Amino acid sequence: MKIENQIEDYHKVLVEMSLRVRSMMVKALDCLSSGNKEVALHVVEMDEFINHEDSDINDRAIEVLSLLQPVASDLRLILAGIRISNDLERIGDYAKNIAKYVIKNNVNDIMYSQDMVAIGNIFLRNYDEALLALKDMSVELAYKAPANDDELDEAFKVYGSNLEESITKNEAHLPLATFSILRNIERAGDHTKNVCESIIYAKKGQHIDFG
Amino acid sequence: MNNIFTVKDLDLYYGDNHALHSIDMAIEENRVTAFIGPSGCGKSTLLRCFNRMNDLIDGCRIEGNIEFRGKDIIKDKVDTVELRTQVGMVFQRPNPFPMSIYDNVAYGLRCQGVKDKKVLDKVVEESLTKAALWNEVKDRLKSNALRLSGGQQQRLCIARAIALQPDVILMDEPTSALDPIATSKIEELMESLKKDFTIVIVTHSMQQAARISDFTAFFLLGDLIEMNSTKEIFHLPKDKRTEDYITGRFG
Repeated sequence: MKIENQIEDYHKVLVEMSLRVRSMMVKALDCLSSGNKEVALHVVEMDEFINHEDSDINDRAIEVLSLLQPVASDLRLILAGIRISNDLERIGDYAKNIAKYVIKNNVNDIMYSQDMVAIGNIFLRNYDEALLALKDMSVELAYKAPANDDELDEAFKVYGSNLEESITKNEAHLPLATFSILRNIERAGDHTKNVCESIIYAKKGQHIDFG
Repeated sequence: MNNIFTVKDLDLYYGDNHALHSIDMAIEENRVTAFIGPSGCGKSTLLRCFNRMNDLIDGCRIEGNIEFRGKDIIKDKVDTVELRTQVGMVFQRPNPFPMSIYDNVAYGLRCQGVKDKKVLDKVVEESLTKAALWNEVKDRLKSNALRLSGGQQQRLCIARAIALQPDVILMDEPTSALDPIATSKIEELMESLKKDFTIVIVTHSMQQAARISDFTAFFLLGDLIEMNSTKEIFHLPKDKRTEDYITGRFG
């Protein structure tokens, strides 16, 4: 069992997981846009798979740690990978949450549903940058996604206060669903930043906090 | 922290073979420093410079200097016998003398002319205690040292070095001939010995260097590639060659 191969496989599994999480979020936003409950149900089912991948990555990490005593960049990648898979698993949960709101409601009744799809696309653009950073283990790219996260936070703030206003005026429909979906997208953005922090740690051993 | 050894621009030749290339380094007092690197990289050669053991090798020539407590032990006139009492050595294979356990430990002091049995008894007990061997041998001090197990013999050799109250103990792969239990005893011992002594160890086991040393120096083909705190070397080495070696991607 050569450590190079183990580390290579480990990284590959992480990238595969990140792609699957991406496809979950794409589907979640699709069903938010179209109201297709079948797609939403599929997203919920995919979450099981993501959870399983998270456990698999943890098991692989334990195996490498216990049998091969990794050091330096290998050790940092293993530790970063445990954190990354945990963050990816959470992003998967957020996609699942969005899908659940689609299953329970008629999307046309959810306020700003189409606007939130657009916000979700901002998330996806940032997530894709993080994904590329993960694929290439590129520190440079890992700094890019977090830099654009402010847009997501700003959208959350704007739509949050609009929603609050509607609630005060008693004009809001399904405000909880709207707020939760917005919140889930915003949180997914935060976990994307964490992924980037972990990539930088794996490459340079530095602890960066993107907030 | 004080540096007990300072190596400056040290070159060593075995005949035409240029074995060490302008080495610069400092060894901190009361710390364990590990030398790692593939076979033939010069780590044992450098270790042997610290107590002038290379003098015994024909055709060995040294340039540059090594200061031991501020005194140049390469160029200045040095009494090597005295130097070797201050800088003791433990070898790869345990090499107790074919005599009793007691006589092994007392040997160095007797050579220095100490005859007082009370003094000898005290030093033997203290040295064996520090070497974590006393409880195992106190009832058979007169029995032949060669009857001890490999691990016990190695601790006896450490006790023999300690008896002369050296400042430094050099260890050249001290556990490579021992089983894991004996190895872990020696490793524990090093941790307790560094209170009183400076330890420099050559080891082929990277895990051992990581476990026991405060500083690690990585050598390759006669060059000192990188020296830093062990934590830094095994967490974030600066040189790609160090990284490749410690992660097993070498060669």
